[in-house]
Amino acid sequence: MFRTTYWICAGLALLLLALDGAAGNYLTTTPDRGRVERDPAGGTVRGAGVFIWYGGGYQGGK
Amino acid sequence: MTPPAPLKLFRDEAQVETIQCLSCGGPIALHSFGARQRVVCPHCGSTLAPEDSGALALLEAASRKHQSSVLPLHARGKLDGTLWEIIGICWRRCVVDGVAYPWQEFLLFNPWHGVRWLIYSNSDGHWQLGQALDGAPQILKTRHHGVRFGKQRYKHFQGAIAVVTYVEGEFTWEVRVDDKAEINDFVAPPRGLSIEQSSGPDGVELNFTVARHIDAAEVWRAFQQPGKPPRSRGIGALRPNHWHRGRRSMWLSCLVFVAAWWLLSDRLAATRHPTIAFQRDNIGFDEPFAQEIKIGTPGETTAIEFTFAASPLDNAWAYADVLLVNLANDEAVGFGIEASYYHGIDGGESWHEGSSRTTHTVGGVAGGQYLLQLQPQRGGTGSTPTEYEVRVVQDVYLTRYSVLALTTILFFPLLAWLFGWLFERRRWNNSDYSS
Repeated sequence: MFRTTYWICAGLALLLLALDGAAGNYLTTTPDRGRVERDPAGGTVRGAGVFIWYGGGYQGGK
Repeated sequence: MTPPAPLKLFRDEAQVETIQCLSCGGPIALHSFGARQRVVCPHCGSTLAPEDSGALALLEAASRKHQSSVLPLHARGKLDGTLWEIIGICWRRCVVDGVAYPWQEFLLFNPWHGVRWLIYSNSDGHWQLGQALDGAPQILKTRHHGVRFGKQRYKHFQGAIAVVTYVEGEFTWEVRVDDKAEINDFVAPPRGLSIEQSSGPDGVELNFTVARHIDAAEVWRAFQQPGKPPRSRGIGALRPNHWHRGRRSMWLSCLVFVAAWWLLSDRLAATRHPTIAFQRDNIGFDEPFAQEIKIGTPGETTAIEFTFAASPLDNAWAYADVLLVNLANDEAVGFGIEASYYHGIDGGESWHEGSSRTTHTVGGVAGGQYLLQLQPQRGGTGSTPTEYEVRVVQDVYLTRYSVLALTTILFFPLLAWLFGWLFERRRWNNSDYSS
């Protein structure tokens, strides 16, 4: 049982290294992902539109 | 052609003979043919010995009470494919550091296979099945006292003076209560070897016994005893170390895994070429920042390292809401990043925490054209930052994948080794070599 668990875990860890080591989908921070919308009132910043993100935000430091 | 006649067995089927005790008149069943040297009445404890004629004569009358052993006299059980009968029971004990360690020895008899000893340790509930050694072991001149018999080496485990405290049934040696013998046990779990030295009128007698661990449940099943056997406690002298079972294959597979890990890590490192996708400093906090940047190669996914540094940062914080908007499909990656640095003196001791530079690793970023948008904030009690710096590095090599894989590969064998070592340490804590 212990050996089987070992083989499975080691195999999965190697598989993760082989398949996701370059892209880093799983072992990095999990940012918010999704569609954004151009803020109609945001105008432009250096020629680019201002996009708004629903959610997130910061509560401030100390 | 006539088939050859079946081989005649050397001995005929065992016949049970019943006699009456010459002291109390109680019935005594005899099984062991001419091999018997002593018969102890299970009812009164009187000792009988065969005379030259073969008839039993009363050697010593006694009137002790019968005591129950963990297995009864004359119980029959099949061990190693052979049917054995318990023809004698002998209780012994040794005293170490003022503590008595009793055990019970059951003399098993089979007319074709001779005798065996089934040994039950009262102190820890472990069982051993032993038989006379076919020869004498060789004493080894090693750092840890040991012996060798055949190809098997045994390490000295403990030595003690064993005293017989109770006997009943038939015995193939001249046993009596209060008999003393110096016993030295050697172990190579699940096997063990005992050297027993006793002094008698004819000089010193040496007996060599080899034994193996046997599970209590197996004994109970074999002798068809009701209920469950007495619970085994702790690590017996011969109990197999289950952490050592299959350790060879585990370390071999570990080697294979390490080789595979080496190849994969090397290949991963060769394909990663960390390059700066974007870097800008002296950005003001007054308004959001936006910049079109190119990350990775279209069609491929990459990991980026996002660095945010603010200055001057002195008992203050800086924060930015970061959006990376894929211009091809308006799909975005959003995260917050903070840099803060605080310091002071508390109770006469100076302290500091944080840093003016923070790095955030984001994986799974599809290659393509992006709009990098930052919405900065700042604050604090000291000097708040006036500008910040941003750097995006693409194709970073994420060592955590290699570290995780290697940790997993080594963790299990090392864990098995550690538990195996602790197991052995517990075993040897009961030996003469206890730490």
